[in-house]
Amino acid sequence: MKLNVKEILKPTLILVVICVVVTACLAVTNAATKDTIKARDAADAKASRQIALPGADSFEQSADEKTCYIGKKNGKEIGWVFTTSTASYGGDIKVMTGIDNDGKITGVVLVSTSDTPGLGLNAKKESFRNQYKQQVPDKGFEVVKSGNAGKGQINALTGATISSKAVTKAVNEAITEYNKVKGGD
Amino acid sequence: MARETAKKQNGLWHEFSKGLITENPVLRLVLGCCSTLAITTAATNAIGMGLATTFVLVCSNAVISLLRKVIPSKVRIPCYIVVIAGFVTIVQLLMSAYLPSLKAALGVYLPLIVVNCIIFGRAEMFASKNKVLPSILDGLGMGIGFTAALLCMGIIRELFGSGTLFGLPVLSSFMPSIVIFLLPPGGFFVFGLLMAIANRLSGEGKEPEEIGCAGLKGCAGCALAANCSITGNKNGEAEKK
Amino acid sequence: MKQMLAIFLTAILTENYILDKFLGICPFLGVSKKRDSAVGMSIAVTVVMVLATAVTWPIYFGILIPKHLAYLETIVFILVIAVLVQFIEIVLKRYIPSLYNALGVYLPLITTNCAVLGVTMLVLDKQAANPTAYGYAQALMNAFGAGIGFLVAMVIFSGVRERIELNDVPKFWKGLPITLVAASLVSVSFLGFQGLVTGMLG
Repeated sequence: MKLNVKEILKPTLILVVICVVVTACLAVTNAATKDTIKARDAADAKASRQIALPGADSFEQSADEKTCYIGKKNGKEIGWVFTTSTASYGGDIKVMTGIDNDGKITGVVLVSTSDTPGLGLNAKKESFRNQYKQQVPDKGFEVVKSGNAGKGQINALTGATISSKAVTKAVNEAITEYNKVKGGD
Repeated sequence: MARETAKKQNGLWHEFSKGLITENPVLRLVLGCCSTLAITTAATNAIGMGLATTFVLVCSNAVISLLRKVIPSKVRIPCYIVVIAGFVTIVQLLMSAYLPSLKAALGVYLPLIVVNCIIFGRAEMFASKNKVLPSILDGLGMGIGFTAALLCMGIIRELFGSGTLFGLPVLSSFMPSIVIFLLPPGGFFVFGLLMAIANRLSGEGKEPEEIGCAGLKGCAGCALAANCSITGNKNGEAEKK
Repeated sequence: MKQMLAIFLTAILTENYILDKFLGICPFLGVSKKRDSAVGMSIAVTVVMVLATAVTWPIYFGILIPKHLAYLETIVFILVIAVLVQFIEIVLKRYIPSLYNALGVYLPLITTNCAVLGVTMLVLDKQAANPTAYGYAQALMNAFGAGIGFLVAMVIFSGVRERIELNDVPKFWKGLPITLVAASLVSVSFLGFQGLVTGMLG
């Protein structure tokens, strides 16, 4: 019986020791990289907001809506930046949409995406994103594949309809948020 | 003495070089297929994945070799898993901090390096039975072979699928891109093509033996060969069925 | 429920884990030669997928996130899967030996099957993209769908491979190369399902 216990105890103990050592190493690495990651994320987010709402010189997080940032120029509120995420082809995508006081979309930025290079990733191109720079449509944007997009319509990317629709859905969600915020103001 | 050193050096070189061509993990041992097919839509991603995997492979080989006399056979699989997963997590954290765009590009396949059969296979078949230096060289050779195979696929798929190479437009002005290369079918097809070429180059005309265990060409890459219930053979020798 | 059906069908047709996400390729290429082994492996995979998701989801949201231990996700998930597989093997061997004899040989291979670890992580992505509408039940349905999708792909492919056996294949394409070309063609056929689920269920 004694031998039996030893047979089970020793391997288990070694396994536990290895687990503890590895976890300790990971905790150290995590602590070391945590701040860098946080700082980088914050800097990236700020840069993205700037692209979404170019006229602003400072951003302030909205008190009631965590994903909404108010853009200010010289202390005066000039618009909002909304962060929304939707599911796309390769995973979920995060989109920042900037809308100014007049209800015009000033910019759409893809903050994170895991889509295929050459296909869905082309949604990052300016030529695609610039399509959204227009007055906010009443019923939100619609994706068309014909290549002849009218007002309130977006031309889908070749071979990447899912990604085009995902970005559009994210922008439409931002528009819904905008309508809520605008109403309150 | 000189002859002994020369033999030793030959041995070490062999451990390194075998992973490059003759025992290339992707094209000859058929391991690590999932990353090969998924990540190779752009050449830069292919290199990124290859290097990340090589890093984990070398580190885990080294550690497992160091601990080979300590790890009891009964719990060796969980021990390997913990060590390998530890290194994968370190790569994840470092990438989040310093290479976030590559991390986004690799997506879910980055943590999946932990189940990449190459790493497991080499730990079981080599690192657990050999000294540290040969294990490191084995890992390095296999990793570089893996990266090279991935790069070949990545170049072909990106060139024909997007017309670019490493993001720079090359063919896009001459011919329209053949998008299917970037889609899943293209991945399977290019992989099959490369394997056929590898078969041709290694002069292997006869039908490769398939045991049916995991598509492996023999027990060489299988992580569980030592206790294989399929071949019923305890020393990992291939048995023709 | 419409949403559950949509999740189930999407996992099989438009986001098939083998033919679209390239997860589980090793067993796909290796075990799909015969119909029986293909079915056996797939059933084992489905069971492990659902159980793994059932266990890892609460661990992630109940322990890892609240304690700021999200970086331990990879290591915890793979250990859970390894333990689960071991546990299933013991249970089967003891209580359902006939099933163990049929499936048991595939169980150890499932630990390193990227599809299983993949599904536990991908459902977390889906939750992040849709926090209000995607929860535990949806994740389990997704895992089940992924397993069935695995089964569908394996069975179709074993049929294709049986046909290839009877064909005259050029020398250097024999074996895996021609198998991969066949896989690419099956994958093309699945591309045709794009838009089916959203079209059908809105």
